[in-house]
Amino acid sequence: MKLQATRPSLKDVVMIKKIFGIVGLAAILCVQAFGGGIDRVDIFDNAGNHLLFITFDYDSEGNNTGRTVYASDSTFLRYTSIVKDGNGNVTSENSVDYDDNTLFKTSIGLQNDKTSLSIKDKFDMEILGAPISIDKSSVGEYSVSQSGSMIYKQKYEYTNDGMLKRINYTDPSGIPLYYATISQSTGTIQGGIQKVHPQLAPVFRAVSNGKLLVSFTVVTLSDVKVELFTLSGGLISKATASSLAAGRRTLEVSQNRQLRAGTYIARISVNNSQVYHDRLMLVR
Amino acid sequence: MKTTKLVETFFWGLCAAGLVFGQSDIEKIIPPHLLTEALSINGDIEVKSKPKYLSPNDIVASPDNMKLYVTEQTAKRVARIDIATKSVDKTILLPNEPTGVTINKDGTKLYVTIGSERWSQGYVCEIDASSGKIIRRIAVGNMARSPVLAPSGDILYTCNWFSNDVSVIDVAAGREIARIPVTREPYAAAITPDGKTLAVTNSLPDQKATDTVTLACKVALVNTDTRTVRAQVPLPVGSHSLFGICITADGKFALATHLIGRFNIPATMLSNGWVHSNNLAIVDIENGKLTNDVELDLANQGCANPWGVTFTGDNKYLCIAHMGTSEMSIIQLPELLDIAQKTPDLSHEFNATYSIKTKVKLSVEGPRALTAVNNKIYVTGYFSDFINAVTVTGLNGATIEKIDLGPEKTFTSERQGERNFSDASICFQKWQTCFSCHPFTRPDAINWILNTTNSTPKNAKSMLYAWWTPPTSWAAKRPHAGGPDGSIRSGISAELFVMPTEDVGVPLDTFFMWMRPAMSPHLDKGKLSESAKRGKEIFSKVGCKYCHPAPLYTDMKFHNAGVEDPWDANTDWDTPSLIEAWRTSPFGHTGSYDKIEDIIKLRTHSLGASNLTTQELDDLVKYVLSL
Repeated sequence: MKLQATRPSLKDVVMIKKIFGIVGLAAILCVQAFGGGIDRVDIFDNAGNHLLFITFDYDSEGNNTGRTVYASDSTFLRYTSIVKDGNGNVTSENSVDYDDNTLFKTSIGLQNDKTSLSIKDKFDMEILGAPISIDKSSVGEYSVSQSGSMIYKQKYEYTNDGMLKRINYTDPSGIPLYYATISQSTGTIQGGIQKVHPQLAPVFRAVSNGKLLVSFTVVTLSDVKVELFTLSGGLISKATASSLAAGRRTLEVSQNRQLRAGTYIARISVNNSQVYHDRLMLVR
Repeated sequence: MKTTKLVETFFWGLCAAGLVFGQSDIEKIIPPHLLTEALSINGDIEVKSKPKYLSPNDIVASPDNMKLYVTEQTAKRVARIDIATKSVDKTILLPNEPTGVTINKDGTKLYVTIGSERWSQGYVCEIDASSGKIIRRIAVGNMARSPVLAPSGDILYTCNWFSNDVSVIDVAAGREIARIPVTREPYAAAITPDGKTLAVTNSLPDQKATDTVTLACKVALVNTDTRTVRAQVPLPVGSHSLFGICITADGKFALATHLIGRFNIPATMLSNGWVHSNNLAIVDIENGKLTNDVELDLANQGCANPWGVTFTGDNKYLCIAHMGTSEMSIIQLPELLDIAQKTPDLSHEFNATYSIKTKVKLSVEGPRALTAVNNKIYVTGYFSDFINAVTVTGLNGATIEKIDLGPEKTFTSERQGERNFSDASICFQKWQTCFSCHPFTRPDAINWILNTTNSTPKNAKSMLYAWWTPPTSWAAKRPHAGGPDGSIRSGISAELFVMPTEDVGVPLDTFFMWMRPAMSPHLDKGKLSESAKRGKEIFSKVGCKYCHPAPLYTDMKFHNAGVEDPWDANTDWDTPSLIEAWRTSPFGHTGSYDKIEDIIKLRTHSLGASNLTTQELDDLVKYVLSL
């Protein structure tokens, strides 16, 4: 049983923003982090052995602030915090162990479509022997080089609706070596956005009435609970639905309350086991 | 509406350019370097400094003698060799480094133990031998290794190297059903033909190094019915590094390879096994006692670091891999057992077995494991990307063939240093290697009187971070690791009795620089347990942090740690790092504390820690052992 990832309809969000921005009307409810929504990356070898997984942290504005690397059995391996410059570009990353001691620092140089990568441990030893260069060869395709020689290639595979499906890691000749799958479960929570453009009116009315609608997709018959929390963890409201048939479903979680503008946390539990979170920003 | 249309058009233009969100945003969160970083740090992909060597470390033959299965540690895979064509016909990828392999009676399933220093949780991978598919993964103890199937095939045992126990696995159910505590660092095991006794080697002494009368490793004899240790058979004093064991076909004797460190005398020469001899213990399984212990060396030529042991299919010859000398001993087995039962202590005797043994030089480097197919012995070499097939016809020679596992890779300086660390050819008469006193670069848990001026017994130190935490010896006689006057080169000249050349020394320098700690088995899923978290607070509160500050947990200064020393008038000693304290017992410069809590609570070591409650002390110990 899993919640199927469905990327928010960007058009909807934009149209809501646009309409409200222009006419100065009441409320907008949207998923905050458009580029976000990446919950987890799972890395496999070519035989399908699960090697590692990585989870991602975001700040209240939806910016990626760090990630945690685990072995496939959930053994913690390291936490990486992300350092950005004033323009929001990542300049370096600091990876620490269970005791917050630095394991290594990754320096990242970005120039056009080229990324240079240098990973040095706490003794300033270059872990990879020499810096790595990663060049964008075409959309979503990169070549990984070291000392002037290409050593690997990787390709981001997207679905037609723009969801990242998988990253393939191959040798220079294209022989598959590793791959990564992406979980975008946070993207399944779509505050107030139910219909695709141009049918925006119902959404607009729902939002202006202060209702918060959360849409998601279940792939099998499921019991679903949606809870809404403040950022400090206070439960505001919840909605439950039993035996929801597979498909796209929407629950109204605001319980006819007029919600204040601000950021909230939505939590969706499926069959009391799988739990998904996302931040929702309500703007008036 | 016109304005709206314009805004919309502009917005979608941005989208199309990937400037607002979409692919470029996703690739900011999952940047192009993410996989390269994750896979290289995890030892999966090779980069310039870390070629993916194979490091073959275990081998098993299929029951029909048609196939060989070789575990390749650093390549994280199993190679299947077709014996007829002498070539690899399949490789099986694994989720972590393989540490051992066995196969069931009908040859349909492989059982491969996996674990590594990066991710030490042990698992057994049950693998379909035909398809190479991993059927399931069974959680066992930390750094599980040496899988052994009961003759019935329904129970599997693993030695949990870092958990100090043996896992008992119900094969049909695919789960661990019991743990049997054994002595420190169980490394190898073998089972009797009737399945009633599992013999387990403990590879490091579990005593105070000052227990000079009894200090030795043991062979544990496990009653498989009751799942308890029915006998602990101590080997001769100074025995350690028990890395190989087999049981004779009649089930009467367990034969275990090991070293004997003659630590009670100053290490002033090597000949005649003065410092280390390389031996074979013969354990009477039924009576739970040592029948004899046999020196494998010659008087003027050592055969450093005996490891894997097996016998030919006709049970006439015992074959032993010598990791340090890259040789294989061939010994007439019935004659050996006869002599061993008739002659008193052979542990330091060269003549009694002289006429019944020979050695052959292998072309693999660093042989560790071997298996027999009739009278052909297949040997893996940890530093070779091929294996040897040795046809044993007697004591008058053997033919040696080579079977490639993959293209050979040039050694980096680090890999060459690792090789040198395990190479007895850089030692006078090949008696020992750096590995002999520092197995896996960690201490052998023994006090040594080194070949330096006015030396007194000192506990062997871990080489982990020796490069980064000078001085490198307790009394700072060797202030740092590298360079002409550093401990690496002086160790070779003083302990291996040859003058190191730079082609030996420089790679060793590199190897030392790159040593990294193993994940502590005391961590809870890689994190500090609640107890250890409390211990961390106490560590800070009672002032441990001043002499053992993070991140290396040593201030690299000299302190009086309150450890009494009957041999040395000095009071101040180098402060050791606490990283990997969980595997570096005994503690103190004289190794006089086998439990870390005993040194922590010394009033003369730390006044604050000496006043802790039992719970606080326990928490503090948990934290230190988690490092």
